[in-house]
Amino acid sequence: MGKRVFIVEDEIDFIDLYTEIIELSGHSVAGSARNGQEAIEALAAMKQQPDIILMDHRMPVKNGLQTARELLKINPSYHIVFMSADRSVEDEARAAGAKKFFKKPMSVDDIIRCIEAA
Amino acid sequence: MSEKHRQTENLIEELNRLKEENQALKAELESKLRQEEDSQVAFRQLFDAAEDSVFIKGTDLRYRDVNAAMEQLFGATHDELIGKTDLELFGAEAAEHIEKSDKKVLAGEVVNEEHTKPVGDRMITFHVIKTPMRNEDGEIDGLCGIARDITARKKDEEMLRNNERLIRSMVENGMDVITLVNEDVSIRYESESIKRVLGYDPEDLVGTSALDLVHPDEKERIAGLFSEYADKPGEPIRIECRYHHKDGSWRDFEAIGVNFLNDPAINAYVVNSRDITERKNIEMELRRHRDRLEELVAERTREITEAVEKLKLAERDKALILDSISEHVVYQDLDHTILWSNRAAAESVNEQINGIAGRKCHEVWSQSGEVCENCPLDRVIKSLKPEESEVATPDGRIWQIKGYPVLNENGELENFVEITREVTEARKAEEQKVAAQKEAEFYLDLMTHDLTNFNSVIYGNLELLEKHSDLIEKAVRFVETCRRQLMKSDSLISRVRAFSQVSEIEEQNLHSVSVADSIREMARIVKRLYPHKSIKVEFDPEARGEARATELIDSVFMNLIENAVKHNVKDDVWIGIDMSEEDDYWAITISDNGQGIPDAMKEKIFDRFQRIGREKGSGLGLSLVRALVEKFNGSIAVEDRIAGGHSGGSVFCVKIPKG
Repeated sequence: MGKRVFIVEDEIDFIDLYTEIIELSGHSVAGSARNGQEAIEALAAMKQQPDIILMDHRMPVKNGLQTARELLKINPSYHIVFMSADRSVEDEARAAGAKKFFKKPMSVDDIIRCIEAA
Repeated sequence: MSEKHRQTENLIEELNRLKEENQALKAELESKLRQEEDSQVAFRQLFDAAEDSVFIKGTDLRYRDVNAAMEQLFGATHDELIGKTDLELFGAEAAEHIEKSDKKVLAGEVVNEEHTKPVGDRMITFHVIKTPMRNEDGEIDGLCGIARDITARKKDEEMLRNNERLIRSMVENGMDVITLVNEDVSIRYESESIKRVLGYDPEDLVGTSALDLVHPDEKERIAGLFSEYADKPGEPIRIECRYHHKDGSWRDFEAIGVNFLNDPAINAYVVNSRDITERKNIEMELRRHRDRLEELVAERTREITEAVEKLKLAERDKALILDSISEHVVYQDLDHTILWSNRAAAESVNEQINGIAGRKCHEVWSQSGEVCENCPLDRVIKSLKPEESEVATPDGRIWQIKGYPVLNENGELENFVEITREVTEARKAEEQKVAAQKEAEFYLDLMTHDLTNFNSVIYGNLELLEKHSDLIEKAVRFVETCRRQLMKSDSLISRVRAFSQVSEIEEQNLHSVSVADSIREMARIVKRLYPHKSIKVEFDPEARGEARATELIDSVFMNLIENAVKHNVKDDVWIGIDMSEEDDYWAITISDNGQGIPDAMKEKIFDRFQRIGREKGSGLGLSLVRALVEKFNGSIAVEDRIAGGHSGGSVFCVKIPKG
């Protein structure tokens, strides 16, 4: 059974890429947000919560770390996977509750394995 | 002629002679009686005219007669005094003495005495001469006395005696020797003090020559002086010579002689001599000491002069050494008053060394009445160890100050030495180094983050294209995405290149470029970079204008327009561009409907390498824009699009001189 993935990423090209990878691998995109604040609001409005959240870090309005902390406070069962080019935040991301941290660029297979492992 | 007749004739002759004699005697007697009478009157007159008191007493020792002087003495009349006794006139004590004396007179003696008796409330000394008075029979029937008031004379005599005693005492006991020298230079008188001074008895010298005791070498000179002053009565002669002591030694004498030869009471040279041997010895000793002292002073002066010369040389060397170094060396007291400084310190404030000595350190370098906040010397007071700090002066220069304690032999802080060097350039270099490091880190971040992001998308799309090459429609989209990412990557590289070129823009490189064309072209590119967004750019298609700039003006509008899109979270992006003339400038405003910029960030966004909150954006854009606009002699500012808050979007206002 396919996983439901929520994408938090300000770059539309990444959203498009993740969407293609997710859908071509038999999973589905539950939704997407262009910044942390949008994500918190969208997830709060969703009746069926996603199995996994792919989270960028550098975003306008609210960054990935702040968003992860707030989301896990609301729902500690969120499975959040960080995908960022900024390796310096890896430790903070894990400390905030991220299940995994991918340093961009990552392979399509890594993303699929990560989704399927969730 | 008979015998008888002859006898008768003789008798008659005798009788006549006697008769004549009788008559002569009678006449003589009458004459004498007249004389006696005259004498009595004269005596009375004389008696009363006498200034001395004259009195006559009877054998009962009562006053029988007194003269006018006595009346005056007692303030009583003749009749009142007659019959009085001495007890009544002088009192018991005096009366007793007078009675004894009077009795001696009544016994036949003449008494000549001085006696002090009370008269009224005064004590009066009388010189009294009393003689017995005899009657015709030669019997003593009273006494006659004459009393002279000698009270004043006695006092004078007493004073004279006292003076004499004093003078004698001075002459005999004083250190001075008084000599009376006759005209022939023989000694007439020598005071007793000669024995004490020269050991001779005065009587041994009286009659000898005054030159006998003079030193042989000086005899002629002294003799000459006596001759010279023989004709100068009253004029003092000052003599200094050696006299022979009885013990064989020679004594130094100082004498003053005065010629009184013409004074009948003296008729001599009066010479007052004084032994000055001790004084001479002391003077000699003093002279010896003074000579020695002068020698020592001269010696010491020479040493000090040499030491001062050495010190001057050392000071000069010190000054040369300290003046030759570029660091400021300032010696100051605990109150920060400059005691000494080297040339570099003084010249740093365009002063002479003497011009800053005595002034406060902080007044000279910081133009402040207060000690500098970071002054290391205040810390030296506490630590007694060298301290260091950096102080910026109002002229923008930065100084590294090292304060060293100057301790006295007891280890107490006495003064400071402050060594200061300007580190403005060093600090600038450090700042440049930090800036360069920041820049390097910034570029590293660009490479590792932004370019990685672009590449990630490209990798992912190419991987998908590889995996799903059968899906042509998707493949075209993947390729388009890759191309777009490469455009972004290229844009970023262009910005970095533009940034590196900003510093190379010179005034002479500026030329006329089309502002409107640049705006239109950049808006077109941005729209292609963000195909997923609905971007509406409102700009007058007829707008035309040339600015004085370079081709890098494209970077100005590319960044401003792309920012309006990139930082706008809305999918429907609106950008309004207006271009108008303001004097010699083109005023271009670029408005957007993004989330705006908080006031606190409005200035910060133009800082170089500033990525606000590490959000999206290279951090190069706006700082590049401002650097370019300023190179074009223009300006840039940002405002809220809607007054009252930033959330309604921003307006960037650019002014560039017309070309």
